[in-house]
Amino acid sequence: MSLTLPTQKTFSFLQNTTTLLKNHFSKITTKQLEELKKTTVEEASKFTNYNFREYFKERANDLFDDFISKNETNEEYVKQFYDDRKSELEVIKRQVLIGKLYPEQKFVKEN
Amino acid sequence: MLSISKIAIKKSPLSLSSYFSNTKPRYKFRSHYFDFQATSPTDPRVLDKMLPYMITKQGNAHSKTHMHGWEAEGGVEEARAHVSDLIHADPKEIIFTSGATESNNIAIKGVMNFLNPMKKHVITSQIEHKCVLESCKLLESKGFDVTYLPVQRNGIIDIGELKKAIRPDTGLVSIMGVNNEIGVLQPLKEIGNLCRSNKIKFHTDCAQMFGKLPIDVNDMKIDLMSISGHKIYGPKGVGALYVRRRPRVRLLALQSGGGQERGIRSGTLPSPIIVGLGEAARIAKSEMERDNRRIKKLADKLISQVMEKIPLVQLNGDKEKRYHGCVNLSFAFAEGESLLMNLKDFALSSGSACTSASLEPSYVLRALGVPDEYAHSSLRIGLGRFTTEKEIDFFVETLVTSVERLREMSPLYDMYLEGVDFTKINWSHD
Repeated sequence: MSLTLPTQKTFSFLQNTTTLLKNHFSKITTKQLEELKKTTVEEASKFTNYNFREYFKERANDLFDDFISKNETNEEYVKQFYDDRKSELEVIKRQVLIGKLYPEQKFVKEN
Repeated sequence: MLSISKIAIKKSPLSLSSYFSNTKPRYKFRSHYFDFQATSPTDPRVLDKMLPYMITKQGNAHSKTHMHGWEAEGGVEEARAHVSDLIHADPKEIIFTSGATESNNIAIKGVMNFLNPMKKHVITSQIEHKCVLESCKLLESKGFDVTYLPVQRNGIIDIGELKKAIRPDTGLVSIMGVNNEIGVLQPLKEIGNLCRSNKIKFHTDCAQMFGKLPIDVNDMKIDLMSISGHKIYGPKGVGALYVRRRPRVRLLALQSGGGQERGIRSGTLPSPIIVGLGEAARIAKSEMERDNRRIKKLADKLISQVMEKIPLVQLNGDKEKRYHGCVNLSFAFAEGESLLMNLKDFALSSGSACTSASLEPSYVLRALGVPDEYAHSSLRIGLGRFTTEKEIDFFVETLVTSVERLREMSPLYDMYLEGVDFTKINWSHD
């Protein structure tokens, strides 16, 4: 069997498939949002301060549930929301560490 | 000889830490925070934004010649934009100060010193913050006239009284947005319209309102506004003053120096804490609706449960026109300071933080016409972004048992239950 050089048709077919795959994978799915919500709530549960812990957990649940229920079709908005929540997750991770460096007394009911 | 030298070795020299024994916890457990009007905890997102400006981006924001200065300046200008965005103002109209107290001083003294001697009259209210009242007292000693407007029983200014108090030589009206002790919301739009039509400058101390309730300086025709950083989950030691540019508000600066902040407040800008204030303002704008919904729900639950379980409880201030996060309750026949002692697991206050050191009842409650026995038995409960429903439940449970225990011990309460009329008693000793 002789190898044939790729023709113009093959190139355009490859280009189209790559763009299709790119668009498909850059689209933020509901599954990715749910996963990010789960990670955020897990990280927020690590806060040593009771008030911060409860606030960030409740806030993550509320924000993600409200957004997912809206079923936003505009991909830009979805990407913006996803990026914002991702950067907030980084903030939460850093602040959890800082909270652990400066431990404080517990509440009477936490004992 | 040996025993004396042993004693000499064992006896340690006086250490500085023995003078600061109040930093050691007196009570083993941490108290639940219910004093959001005094100050608020710094939001972790605000701290995260501030830290780089304390570690690497440590330049002086006024240094125009190198990267360190440009970075700090960038942070400050971003903060300025966030603060102005929240009140629908222009960024150039925001002056950063060390807090609402300094902003109030600059606004009141600066404007009146500029308008002297054409305008000699200032109008304010009896329930203003101490810094406003003291600034007005200083102006009085310098020959200005000050009218302290009384408030109605619900804590709100009567617009008719304000109209009557205006004179041809009135230069400034200073009325706060939300009161720090009772939480009532003043009618800023009506006052602003009245002042604009009479060409009088309108200053408002919005330290407790900024970031919590919506403000539009153009709609409310506000000329000067004081902002505090640590009331909106930002760092302590920073605030801002909004000074209108169109129509221009002219004032004389209190602090002389290099002419920073349009010459109104000279001094190196504390870029880390200004960035913190900006981030707190940005978060407040996006979270205002959600926070208010939560806080109103918690406050309604608190007030309804307390009123249901204990008789003779009074909510001070208007029920509707208020910021719901400030609940001031008076309990008859239960003294305020004793109540606080019984509520060790909660951080509360029985008057504003500025006046809690003195034994006098709060001047705000006195201005409302609350009788002394109710004024002495009042608690200010502050709710905020980080308060949870479980904390409210625990608080109500403890409060009810404490009030019932104090009333059991009170002979006056026994007399009240027997139906004794207190007005007919002659309280003199024979």
